[in-house]
Amino acid sequence: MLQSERDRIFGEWLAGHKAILFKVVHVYAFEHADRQDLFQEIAIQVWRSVDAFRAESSVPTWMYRVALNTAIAWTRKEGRHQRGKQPLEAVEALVTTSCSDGRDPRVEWLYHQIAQLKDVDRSVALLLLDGFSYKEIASVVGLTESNVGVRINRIKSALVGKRSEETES
Amino acid sequence: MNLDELMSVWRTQEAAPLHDVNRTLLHLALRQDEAKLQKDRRRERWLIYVFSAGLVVAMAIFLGMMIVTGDRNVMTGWDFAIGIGGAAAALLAGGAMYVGHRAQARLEQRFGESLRDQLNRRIAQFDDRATIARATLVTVLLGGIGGIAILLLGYRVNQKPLSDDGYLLVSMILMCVVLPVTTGVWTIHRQAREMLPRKHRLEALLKELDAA
Repeated sequence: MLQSERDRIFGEWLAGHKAILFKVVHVYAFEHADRQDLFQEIAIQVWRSVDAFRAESSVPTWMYRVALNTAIAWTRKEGRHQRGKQPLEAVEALVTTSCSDGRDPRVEWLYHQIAQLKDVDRSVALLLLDGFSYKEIASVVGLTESNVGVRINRIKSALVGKRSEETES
Repeated sequence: MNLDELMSVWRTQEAAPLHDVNRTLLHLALRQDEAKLQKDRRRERWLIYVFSAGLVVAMAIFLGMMIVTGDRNVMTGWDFAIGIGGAAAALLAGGAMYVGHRAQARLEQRFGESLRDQLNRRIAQFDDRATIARATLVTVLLGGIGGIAILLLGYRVNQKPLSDDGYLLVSMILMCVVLPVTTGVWTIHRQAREMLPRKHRLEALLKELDAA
């Protein structure tokens, strides 16, 4: 595939589904610099994956798959916080923050709760909240549907239970 | 609050996204990554060229030895054995490298794209790197031992006393010892510091996947 063609497809994917990347970055990286680093890593992997995309799944599913795999591998990498050199001098500005007025505080609460889960459960929770079916979640994460069901029940109880607790208090 | 309500809360962020991307910087990052990838591929190609050239030279030396000894008219079984054995060893080393590389590529192709497959692929890559590191270590150590043996044998065959080239001999033997030992220590250190912990973390994640 020509580089220009790959750039075009990547640009379209990013324009349509960049929220996926932000969500994944938000639940796997917590410091500002880490988020920049992880976002760049995921964006590069998605860009590289354009060649391998065969349209057997939808673009959002594919992007989630690549983003989650990259994020989990990234969290397991040693010494990521001590990287001596950043590939970009102005990497701080790669992900910009827009005005947060009007954003539902419950969204932040949800992110906070998801971040407390184990690595794999975080992926399942993200996909669940974005409306993916059990089958799709199972294929992205590589679990059986029944295993996904068990995890989802656990996540659901944890989230709903915690929310009810906090609302009551 | 039930799950449907949580999902509708989650969807509100689509309407008011908190973040955006600096496309210029991202474009720059992608170009840098592409350049790095190309550089790595070039280096890999050059390594293959250099190794292949080394094999050809090794074979030429062994064949040359056969021809030179043939001129002396005192051919023994050993003259043939060394020449043929050396050429066969060089070919075998090249063949083993090729077969190993192909087998690893086939193994990695068998994995799909799910998280579990990605983890298995990475673990297989770590195993392959560990095997290559072990093979390199053994080769370098054997090379060192072989080097010393050839040096000493040369003096014996030529009936030359070892004391004739005292300093030269000691430096060459030192090189044959220092190089393999340094390579060995570096390989073991790298394995223990970088590869093994990462592999163990990936295996732990696989276990986490298996545990419902």
